[in-house]
Order: sequence, then C-alpha cells, then structure tokens
Amino acid sequence: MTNLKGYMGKVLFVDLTNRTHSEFPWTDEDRKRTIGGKIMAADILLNHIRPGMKAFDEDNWLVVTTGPLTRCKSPSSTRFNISTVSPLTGLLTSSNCGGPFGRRLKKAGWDAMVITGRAKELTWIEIDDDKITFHDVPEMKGMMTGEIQHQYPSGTSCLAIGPAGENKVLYAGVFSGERTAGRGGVGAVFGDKNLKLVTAKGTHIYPEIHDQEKLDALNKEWAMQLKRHPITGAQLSKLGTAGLVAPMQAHRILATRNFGDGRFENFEKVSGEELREKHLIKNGGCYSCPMKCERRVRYEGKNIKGPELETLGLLGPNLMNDDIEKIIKWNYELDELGIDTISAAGCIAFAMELNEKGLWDCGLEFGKTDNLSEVFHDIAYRRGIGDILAEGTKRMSEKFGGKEFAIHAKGMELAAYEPRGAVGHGLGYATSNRGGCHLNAGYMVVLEGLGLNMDSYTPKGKAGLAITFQNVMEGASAAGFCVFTSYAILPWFIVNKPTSLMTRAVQTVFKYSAPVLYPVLQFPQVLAVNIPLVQYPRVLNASTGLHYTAGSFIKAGAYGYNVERLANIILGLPVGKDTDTLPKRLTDEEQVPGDKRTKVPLEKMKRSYYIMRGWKDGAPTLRTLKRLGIKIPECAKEVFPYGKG
Amino acid sequence: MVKVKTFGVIRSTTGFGTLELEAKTVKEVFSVISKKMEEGYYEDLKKEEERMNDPKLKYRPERNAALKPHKELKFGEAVVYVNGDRCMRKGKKLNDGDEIWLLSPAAGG
Repeated sequence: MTNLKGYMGKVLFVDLTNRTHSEFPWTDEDRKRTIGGKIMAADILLNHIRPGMKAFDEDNWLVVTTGPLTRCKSPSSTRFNISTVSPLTGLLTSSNCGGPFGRRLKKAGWDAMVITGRAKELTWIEIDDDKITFHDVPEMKGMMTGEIQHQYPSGTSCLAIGPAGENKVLYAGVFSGERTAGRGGVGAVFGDKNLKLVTAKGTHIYPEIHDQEKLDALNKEWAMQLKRHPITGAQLSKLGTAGLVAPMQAHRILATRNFGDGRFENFEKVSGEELREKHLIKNGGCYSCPMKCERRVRYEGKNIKGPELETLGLLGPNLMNDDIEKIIKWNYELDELGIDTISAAGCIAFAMELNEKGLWDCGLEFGKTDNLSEVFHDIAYRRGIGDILAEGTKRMSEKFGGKEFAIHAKGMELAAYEPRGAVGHGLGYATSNRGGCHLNAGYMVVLEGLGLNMDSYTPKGKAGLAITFQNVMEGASAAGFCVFTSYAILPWFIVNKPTSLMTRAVQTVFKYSAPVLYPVLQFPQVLAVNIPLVQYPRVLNASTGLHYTAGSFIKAGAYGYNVERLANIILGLPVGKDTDTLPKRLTDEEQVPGDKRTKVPLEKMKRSYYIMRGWKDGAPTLRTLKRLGIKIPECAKEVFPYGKG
Repeated sequence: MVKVKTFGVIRSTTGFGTLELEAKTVKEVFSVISKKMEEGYYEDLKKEEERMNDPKLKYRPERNAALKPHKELKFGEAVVYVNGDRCMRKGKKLNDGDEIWLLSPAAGG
C-alpha cells in the first residue's frame, strides 16, 4: 500500500513456472527514489540480476511498469514501460509504449508487474483486479498480434507477441493495441517464457490525486503549451514524425544506404508530405495526448497505423527504396508478425551491403525490394536467411565480417538519424544505456538542426547538453510522460525564428554551456525551483504530493541513468575504451568526402561526457554512486571496476 | 526561373508544394510567395469563418499560430536551403535553375 497519491500502491509478482502470484514488496521510499516507469524497473532489476545472467535464463525478469501519471489525464502521460535483460544487447533494455495496457493495469489496481519463470505451455495471464488466472493457449500459437487482440472487448487491454516473439527473434516486440514496446527484443523474452498474452481489466476508479484542482489547472495549461508549440502543436499534429524526412534530408542526417550517406535523392517520395497528401485518412494518437502524431492510412481496404519516421527512413532511404506504399505494407506486416521495424530494417541494410561487398551471398540488394515481405516472414519464422537476420546486426558482423559498417551501438541497430550530420546525436547513440536508440540518447538532433540550429559538427557543449536531455527524458519517461513533450521545453519564440538574433545567441550560448551545466549536473539540487516551461515536476507534485523541483527531477533522471549503467556493467558491458562506441564508418569516414567535420569526434566528446557524468572509463565512480544514493548490490562488487579496495 | 519546394507546416500555410517562379534573390522569392499567399488569405479566412459558423462541424479556431491562415511568409520564419546548402542571407543571389527548399523552422519526433 502507499500513502502517496497517483499510485495504486501494489506491484504484482507472477511466477510462470509454478503458476503462482504474489505482491512484490515496493515501498513509498522506493517510489520516491525512482518515480516509476523505467527507473523503477531498472532499480528492481539492478537488485535481481547477477553477472553472466542472460536474457533467456529462466530467472530473467520481465518488469512492466507504469508511471504515477499514467491514467491521471495529464497530457501525453499514458505510457508504460517494459524492461528486462535484452537478448539483442545482453544488457538492460527498457521499451516504452503508448498502448492502452498501462492504463488498464492501473485500473486493475496494479502499478507494475514482475514476471519470472517459464511456462510449460503457451500461456495467457489474465489480470482481472486481484484475480490472476493462467490459461494454456496452444491454439494461439502462430497468431498475429492484431488477430489475438481483436478477440477481446474494449474494456480489456492486451500485451501480445506475434510469431517473431514465439520464435525468439532477437528484436521481437510486445504489442498493446497497435502500439509497440519495440526495442531490445522484449517480445523474444515473452516468447522464451512461453508467454503469448497478458490481459488486464479492472474496476478501480482513477488513482487518488493529491491536489485535483491544481492538477486540472496544470493539465489545461500544459495541454495549451503543447498545442501552441511549433513542434508539438503544429508539425507533429500536421505531419506526424514523418514530417522529419525533409528536414533530415536538408541537414544531412537522413540515414541512406546503410548509413553511407545523409541524403537521399528521392526523399520526397517517402516524406511526411507524401504520406499526408496521398495516404492519410486522419490523425490518431495515444489517450490524453493533444499532439495526435499517429497517421491513420489505408492498406488493402483497412484503416491502419501508418509508418513513423524511423520506419520510413530505415525502410526507405537506408535501403535505397523510394516506394512509400511498400513501406506502408511492410510496416503493417512487421507489426502483425511482432517485429521491431528499426532493427529489422537495419539488419536488412547491413545484409545488402554484405552482399554488395561479397561477404554474404544472401541475394539482398540495395534498391531491389520486391521480395522483402517474404524476407520479413522468414525472419519471423526463422527460415533460410531469415534465421541469420533474426540474430541482429552485431551477430551478423561477427559471422560474416564488416564490423566497420555494422550500424549498431551496444548491439542495437541505430534509429534513422545519420549522426555524422549531428555529432552530438552520435555521442548520444554511443552512450545510450540500451544501445542505438535516439530517445535514450537524449535526442540531440532537436538542438542540432531540427528544432534549433546550433553547429551540428562541433563537439563543443554537446556532452553537457546530451546528459541534460538524457536525464530529463529519463525522468519524464519514469513519470509516464511521452518524451515528445520535452520538445515543448524549447521556447516557441526561439524555435519559430531560426535566423533571429535571440535564436542565434541561444545557439551560441549552448555551445559554451559546459561551465554552467557542469555544476548543475553535479549538484542538481541547487536548481531548487520550478521552471515554467518544464512542467513535469509541477504536474508530478500535484498528482502525487511529492516535492520535485527542476533540480531534483533532473537528479532522479541521473539516478535512473546511473542505475542502468551499473546494471549493464554487472551484465557484462566492458569498461574502458569499448564501453561506448560507434561503428568506424561513423567515426572514421567522412560523410562528405573532403569535409573533415562530417565524422563523429566521439573520443573527444566522450572525455567531456564522462567527466560531466562523474564516470571513469564509462563506469560511474563510487563518488557518483554515493552522491546519487545508489547502493551497489553485493554481486556487483565482483565486477564493478571501482568497487574493490 | 527558379524552383521552390516547401516542406512541413509551411506547405500548408503557403498552399503549394512546388512552384516555379522568376526571382533574382532569395528575398524576391519570399516577395512572390507572399503575394500569392495574400491572394488566398482572405478566402482562407472566409472559409474558416464558414466552418466556425457551421453547427454540424463543431469547428474550433486553430490555436497554433503556425497553422492559422497566413498573409505572408517572412525570411526569418523559414529555414532556407539553396541547391542543398543552408542560406542565412535573404540577399543571396539566385541563378536560373536553382532549387530552393523552404522548411518549417522546427521539427521533432
């Protein structure tokens, strides 16, 4: 139980091996320390994992968490998270999802659930308030993600995997409605546990709110801030994330030909404008979100979710494909099969280049994409070349060579932003705890060309800004917010006037911000105020009764980031020069031949990054852990490089 | 003749995706576009008013400034590229056959 508001006060623990369930101990102190969401999950897993633990070990836990704001009607706050040891990276992964499951889990009276063990038969866990039922569902074997979920009425929400998850494709996702916890292979861990489906329904009313009147006022104010902002209120609602294709082309950050270039000649054919003008039926979006960035499009007479930017970019320019109709079709098929589109597309691009260089005769060629539907099915069912593609880019490079152009970080394929056109984003990719993820990376491109236009090639100032954004987004995600809301922190009057004196001054200040950011990042508690544009702490306080300030919110994010890093070290992340890396193509080859600026100066930026994080060789120092209040688990002392003596 | 392409929200506010026009400088491009926008502006306002007065539509006026009908497009409100390179000066001279991209100032996702 809890004395805090906003939470339901209970965490469900489910053992699939013994088909038992109980309440997982989670106190208010734990809630205050972790907020919820991915930080809560990382904290739980830090105290469970051991050196050498693998994703497909029976005792690997799946941790599904909500935030205190999930189901509190705040704008864009319906998210939930799934964390586990990733089969793709071997490290901790967290995958965020905007589907309805999180809300229903809270409606059933649970803030989170921890799943352990392995069922003997394909299983469905049914959560109906406090009643937990295990069902054998052999008849669901091979069912697509949409097909399963359509069986349930709207009052029940699902977490489901498709054939890819059952066959342990290392980047299989988990689906809730049409939304995906896509990255890191959480679906493969479901599959390994013989868990096909979890459903939740309940009768609990909304969580009790600390100050309902204040929360309502803040929600209104924030919704208006999001609606009026040029990114969250105009671009995202008008064009969705797909609206980024053209600006990415302009800024040379549109991944093209397996990240061999940052521009694609036929980019207009796969752009957000093309999607809107020829295929859009209407906008859609997550519950309580004013941005409505989802594109509803038509495919074979069905009204389906359209491709997002990552999917458009990686299944388009990165494969040298300019047929948007094919991308719409593949996006639908990959969702139905239960596969992460980013990793699948990254693996295909890498295979195409391996074939081109004579390293793997797989028959895949850039620009020739007629057979890709078949290949995606082969991946899901692990047939033929699909069985190798299902292992991910890193393992493929270990088998066939080509490590220098195997586009991944920590084993996870990169998102669609080519970092040689935005080097701070490259630093983010490299240091991101879960691997090549643009959001866990801190989404530096928003400062390096997409939102603001600070010098995208300079390493100056990038470390501090990346850390700040990583921490803020970590905290926002933990509370249950969509991280897209963080764009509204950038004042509209700066974002809207790209050539104004003020905008240019801000961009210059950002470049030299390290001396200001360093003390703030070391001692965030000095920022004991709430900043009007940063709504997270205020909304969180009104909902829960906690007392967050901008500083303590950033500190909570830093806590989460360091807990994840510590967990990764326990799980085998090497400490030293190989901790945070990018493929050589991005660090050693110029994107624009002859222009030395167009490669990622990673080592230089990493030095500043580690100093500002309080890390040594990519690992938090004991002083940093102590400062953040992170307790080192006993098992970590065997492997933690600074834990001895 | 130069070729102008618009992307993002600017495509909605200017009302065209691609346009060929006579212009010797970037500044002239903006003047020509603004002139065209002004012609459609009053019509856009009228349409919006009609939608607002139609009880069946439940139409609410647009709150985001970028999505409201615009009478002109200013150089400082767009990100401008000429032949693939960023242009920060509106006085930049153009040659026959140049391609100009006008992008919305901000995007994210």
